[in-house]
Amino acid sequence: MKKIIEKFLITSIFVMIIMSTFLSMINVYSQAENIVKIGWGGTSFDTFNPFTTYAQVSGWATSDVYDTLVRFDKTYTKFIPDLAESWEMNSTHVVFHLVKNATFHDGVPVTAYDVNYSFYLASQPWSRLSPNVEGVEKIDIIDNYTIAFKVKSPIIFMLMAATVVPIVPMHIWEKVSDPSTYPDYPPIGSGPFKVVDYKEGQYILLQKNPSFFRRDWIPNVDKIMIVFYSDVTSASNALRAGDIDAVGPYVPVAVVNDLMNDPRFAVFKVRPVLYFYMAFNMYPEGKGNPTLRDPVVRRALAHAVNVSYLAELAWHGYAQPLATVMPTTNIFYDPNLKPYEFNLTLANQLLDQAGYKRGPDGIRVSPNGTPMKYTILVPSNMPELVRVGQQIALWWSQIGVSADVKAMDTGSMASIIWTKVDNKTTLGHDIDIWDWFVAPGDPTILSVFLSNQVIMGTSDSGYVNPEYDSLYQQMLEAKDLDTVKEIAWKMQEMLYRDLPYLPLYQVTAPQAYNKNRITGFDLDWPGGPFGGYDWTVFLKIKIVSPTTSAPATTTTTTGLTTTTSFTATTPVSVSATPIISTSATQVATTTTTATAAPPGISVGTSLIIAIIIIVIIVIGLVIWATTRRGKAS
Amino acid sequence: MSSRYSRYVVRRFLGAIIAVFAILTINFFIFRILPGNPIELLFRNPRLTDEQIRALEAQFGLDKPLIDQYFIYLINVFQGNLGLSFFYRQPVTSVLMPRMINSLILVLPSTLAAIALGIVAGLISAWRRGSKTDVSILLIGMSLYSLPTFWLGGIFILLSIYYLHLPVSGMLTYGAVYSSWTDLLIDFLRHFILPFITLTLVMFGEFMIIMRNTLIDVLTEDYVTVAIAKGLSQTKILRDYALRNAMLPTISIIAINLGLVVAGAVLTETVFSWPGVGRLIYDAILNRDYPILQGAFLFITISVVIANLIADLLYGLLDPRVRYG
Repeated sequence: MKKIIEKFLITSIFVMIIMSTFLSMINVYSQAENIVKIGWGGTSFDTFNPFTTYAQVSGWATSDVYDTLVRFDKTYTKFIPDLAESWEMNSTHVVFHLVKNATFHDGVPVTAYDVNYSFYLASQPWSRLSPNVEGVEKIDIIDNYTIAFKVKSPIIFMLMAATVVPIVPMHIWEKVSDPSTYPDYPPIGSGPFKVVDYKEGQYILLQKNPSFFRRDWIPNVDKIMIVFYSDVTSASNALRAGDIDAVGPYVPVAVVNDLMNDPRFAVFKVRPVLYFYMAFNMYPEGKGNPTLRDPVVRRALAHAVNVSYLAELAWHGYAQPLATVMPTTNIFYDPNLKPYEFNLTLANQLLDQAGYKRGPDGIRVSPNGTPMKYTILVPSNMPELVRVGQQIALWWSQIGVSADVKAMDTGSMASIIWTKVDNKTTLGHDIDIWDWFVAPGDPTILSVFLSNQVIMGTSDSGYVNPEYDSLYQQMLEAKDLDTVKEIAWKMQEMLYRDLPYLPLYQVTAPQAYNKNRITGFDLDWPGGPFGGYDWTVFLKIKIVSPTTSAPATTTTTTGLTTTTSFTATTPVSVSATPIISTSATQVATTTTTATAAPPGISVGTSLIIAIIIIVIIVIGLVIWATTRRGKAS
Repeated sequence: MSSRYSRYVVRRFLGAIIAVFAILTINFFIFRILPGNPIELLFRNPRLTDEQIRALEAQFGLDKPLIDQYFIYLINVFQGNLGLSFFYRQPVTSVLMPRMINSLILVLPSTLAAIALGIVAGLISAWRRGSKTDVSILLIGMSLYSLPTFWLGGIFILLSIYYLHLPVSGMLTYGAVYSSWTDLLIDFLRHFILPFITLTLVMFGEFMIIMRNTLIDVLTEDYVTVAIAKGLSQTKILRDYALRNAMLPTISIIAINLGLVVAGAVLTETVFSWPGVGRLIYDAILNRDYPILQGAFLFITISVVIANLIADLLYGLLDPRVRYG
């Protein structure tokens, strides 16, 4: 009996080993090789309904399924004709002349009535686009292919609505009983791609629309698939295993070295669309520490933060310090602002002059007796932010300010920041560190600092300034781009001076693709080709050669590695301490072991072998020791 | 006897129904206790107007008092309506069902393999207690039991990247067109083998340890000693004397695990990007998608209750003492 059992056990283990080696040797050659596969890590696809989707990947994946009136080019300063072949603007009206040969995927021609109906849907209260079309006062259909918009500001309308509102077929949508819950699958648009397959949480498959009206936009490949992953680490592993050809929105810093050492992959930095900031609760009715409402305190705290050092600490060469509330890729970014100088002496002086005296425990106390003790909230899904918070607390401890870093999930964080008191939303925290993704084409991020934004649950600083509010309104009604820019700069300067936010750094995260497989796209779009902003990547992408089961060792030249591709001048290392320019002494004592490294597997072959050897030795020793004892007794 | 058994059956059934009700209630309230307004979190967007937030809240029924929401939820559940997913804007059942099938495909074979391997290894271990075989099986079982799943999965992924060249994500090569059923099968197996081995190894230890320890208890009983003294064959002693008695605790462990099969395997599925319930739950937590979580937990808990009920009924048949207890 026991012989049989033992045989069974041994056989089954052998079967497993043989099966996996067998399976690893054979590969099914199928038509999957003609499909370009782009992996996306993080929040997955939500819905095709373009008026209710909030996931970045949803808008991106369908950006070539639906047409808009006009498109941005990669500088976000020029408009490219899409459904509108030309347009005229004066100070109150924008008139679009539509192309006459455009049809939806079901063959029905696109007319001004579809445009009108799409803008009507976009303006509904349930639509995510309703704030974008707020400035539209009246829409006139002049004829089947001409439509006029009466707007408050033509330029704002072009930036925020004409480039954004997808044109959907009226003959389908007007029959939908409740467009707010309409899943819109399969989506019928008029763009160069059709959606032919979608598996929720797995992938979306796009197929080229050969009858697209702009012949020069016809995609180079027949099929593109976007594959969804729970996180960027799994997506990066899939890239290395050859399951997919590219990874967005970024690859974790932990696997960058492995990818760079593999000749199959091109790794490059993207132009930033993400930035991190520190928000001070300065809301007059807020429940946080009242000393933060004093502008001198905020200025002193800002002088006690070295943003260059923090960028290096958190992202190892993939972040740059930032001085304003939008990243450099935004067309309204104000380049005149520079980060506050890191100067602890100055910070101490400012506080001394303002009457914040040190108490017996070394912590400063305000003139009316409130100690400068703060809690810094950070989201726990970004472990590097805990280190950033602790580093800031360390600098502040040298100016007599005590700060306590608390990491929590974003849901709990939001519930502390926007607390309800007597059914009214107010701000309940002291300080938080968080991030914003900012689209390059419009100045909407500035609306976060409007006085009414606390109640809305978007302002985590509680900035209240009627002058700022009226400037924002003026901006939305400005008649030309230069005026919009001028006002946006003025607003950024106000924020820089008043410090509701202390901007920390913007992220130029790495992206990677298999250069033996794909080529042809721009690397310098804001957010990179796979970051969720570039709508041309699907049209331009080309297949280099079919995948083979074994990783290819030769590198085909692509001609892509010229402009923005990753250069090895900045050494990337996960464990190395970043180079420090100032205050080297206090830094050495900081980073505690409390924080985990950002997730990611970067173990080399040698490490695997070492682990196996150690396991074998341990097992051997234990068996030897126990059986010896058994014999003795 | 039969009336006694039927009374036992009725008692078990009533218990199960009460458990399901308790689950429904806890399931509803536990997600409301969590801090944070899902709407505000999900749609953290500076462009949202107050009006839009109210409209979204009304769409998901979040504008009504909690107690009303609870009764609406109960009524809907009995009508088979689990609500609308916050994130996918689709009925929960239509999101959940395909995922559950995907999970079953992975988790059921792994659980069965782990049970078979675990029981066999436990048997050998117990029978040859104190020997080299016993110590090595125990050691391997213990270490696998305590290994973090994502680490083991990560090692397999690295092995695959460097040596095996197996796919590390998904169930099938997405977008593939197969010329025959064997191609489809081979492609599926190539995707299946690594998560299958990972999950089997992770679960193996639990079954092995339970089996070994109960068998050791049984093997030291007097009746086994008597059986050995009578000169019965090893096979007969193991099969007729030891295994039967050792089966009871093992059955309850097996029942709970089979009930959990519909839960998928959160870690394994996430590491290997397997499109099952486990990964759905993981994503739903990140997105604060309460209706999906509620629906998934409802299915999981109910299937565990049912599996336990079956185990209880089996117990009653296998061990008469239980019925009188």
